[in-house]
Amino acid sequence: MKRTFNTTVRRLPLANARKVVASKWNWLTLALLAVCSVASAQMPTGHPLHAGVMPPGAIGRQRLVRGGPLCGYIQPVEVKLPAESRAAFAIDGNFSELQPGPQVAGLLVGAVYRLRVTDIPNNPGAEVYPTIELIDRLYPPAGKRLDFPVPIELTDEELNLAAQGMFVTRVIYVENPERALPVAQGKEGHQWFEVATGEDPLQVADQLGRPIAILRIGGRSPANGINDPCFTYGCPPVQLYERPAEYIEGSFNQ
Amino acid sequence: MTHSPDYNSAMPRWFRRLLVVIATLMLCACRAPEARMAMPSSGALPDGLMMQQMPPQAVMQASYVSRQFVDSCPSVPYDGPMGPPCACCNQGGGTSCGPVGPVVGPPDEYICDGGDFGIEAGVRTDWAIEGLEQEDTIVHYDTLSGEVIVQPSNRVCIYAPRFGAVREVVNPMNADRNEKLVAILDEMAPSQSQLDQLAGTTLQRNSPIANLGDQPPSLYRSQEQAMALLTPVRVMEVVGMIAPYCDYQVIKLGIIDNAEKPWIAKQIDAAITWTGDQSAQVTIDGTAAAELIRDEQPGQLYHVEGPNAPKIRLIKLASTNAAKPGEEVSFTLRYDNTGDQQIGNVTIVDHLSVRLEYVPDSAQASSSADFSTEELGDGSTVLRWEIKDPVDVGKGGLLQFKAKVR
Repeated sequence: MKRTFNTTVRRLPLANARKVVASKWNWLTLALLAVCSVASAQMPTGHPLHAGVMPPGAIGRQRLVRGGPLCGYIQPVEVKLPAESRAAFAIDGNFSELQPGPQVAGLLVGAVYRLRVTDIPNNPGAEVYPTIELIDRLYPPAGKRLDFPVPIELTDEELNLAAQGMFVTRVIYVENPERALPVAQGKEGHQWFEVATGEDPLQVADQLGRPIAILRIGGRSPANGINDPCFTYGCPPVQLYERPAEYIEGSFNQ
Repeated sequence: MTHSPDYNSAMPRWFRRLLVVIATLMLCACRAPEARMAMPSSGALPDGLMMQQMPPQAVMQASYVSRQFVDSCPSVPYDGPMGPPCACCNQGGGTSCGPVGPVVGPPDEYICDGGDFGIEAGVRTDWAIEGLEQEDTIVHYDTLSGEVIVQPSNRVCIYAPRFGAVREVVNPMNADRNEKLVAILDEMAPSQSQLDQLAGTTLQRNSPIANLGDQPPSLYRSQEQAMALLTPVRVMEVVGMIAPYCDYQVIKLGIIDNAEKPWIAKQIDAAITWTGDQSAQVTIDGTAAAELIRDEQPGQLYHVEGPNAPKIRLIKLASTNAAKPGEEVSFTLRYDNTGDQQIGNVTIVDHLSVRLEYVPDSAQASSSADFSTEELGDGSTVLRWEIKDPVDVGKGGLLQFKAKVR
């Protein structure tokens, strides 16, 4: 006689308290995953940690950390001045001899350079101490490095504003050719925009092109003398070049 | 047969598996933080030795730009003083070089002209051209069988960065007044002196200050002076059409000379586009044409195999690979009928970049052609040459014009 065995499967119910705990764990897991997903999707673009109000040097050093062939590269800049003004870089703990503009100097990306500007038009006796901070570089063809310096313009108006106590921040950028304005540009000056109230100049420049340098005028006078290392940001190395040939004869007119 | 009881009925099996899958995906998506280079806190960086210790720079910079740009970027050699000379540099151009390998920068410092990128250009039955975008240069012609063929030229790039600036002017004194007690400021004599200085006549004399504050950022300042008139004009440009930069046999006669290949390659290498994947697709007689670009053939040559195969070669050269705003650049277009049949209604159209301004009356043609320009709403210019006579087999022509860098 064949015997038949029947197996009965019966689901054992969980206690209600355990169900509640398990459900809470489920919701907690889902919440954590959702938060992680949102955080990972917020990838930084442009200058997420940067703003025009950051102290000099912070943006440039952050840019070096982001990588690229920037460290050690000497980027020529051309400092343009009003006709009667003089300027000097802080070199080796002292300000060098005051020279008229334009001046071409090689600067390092990420460093902060202090200048001394005197003979401001319509403001005799006043001196301002702007800073230049390079946050990127150019990639010119071989042999063209000095032909295309980054223009740093210290205008008459901005020097007077700084002498009166204003703080001027000017972000110089390389214009995106795809969004270029169809206007001619002379050799003596580039286009500039006045940022709207509440807007960050660095972010606006980032939208218009690729920020290269930040010029800050005013805001601080040397309390401990102009040769204070803190005031001159340690005097990073400067490579001074000869003045452009077209300006040696004194034909420059701002 | 035994069955284990399902103790996790509150967490079903499908849900647990789903959690495992999601967690696995999240963990796989997580990236380790990038290796950060230890940088000195000050700008006083050591010399070339430090550059030698950072080989990942080139790789990181290559990922900074698009892959297409890296693959097809023209010559952007590293010109910095740091590091030893690189053995990978190609003197003929076309190879980027730096102290730690190839150095490639963003393309925003170049103005390009030539080729057919973006939407492919086409010709309607009324001879209107569609899809001709900025920086495009094409030629279209008729074959004996009545077909209209459109072909692009090669691409010429000029290093001409243009700078702009964004300015912000703030008054820290106003902020101090808002944050501090008015009574304290009133008691401080120096503050009163500064207030008097701010309200002095300096601001009144500089009336543009008030205007600048009212102007929205969309407005811009453009300064232009008559210095451009002093730009020296080379005598060679006056004597004839063949300027020194394009004085080659292939430009003058359409004959390729082996001795000239390196020089032509140097001119064209600076012209190779960064975005090669956007090359126009040319069809001739309904058959996909093959693009021939190799060392022994400068320019771009499109053809189909078999008899009655029309061919045309369009070469574009620029007088310089770098120019500043205000300078003039000469462009040369050489076209040759390299096919086996006569072609007619040859029309060459060049849509200049918005950064290039056509110099009036500078267009020249070696053969009889109707030249016209058209100013578009975006500020760019379209140049159009309509060659009057049919181009026989083996014949060609030369077109030249000048453009001013804005």
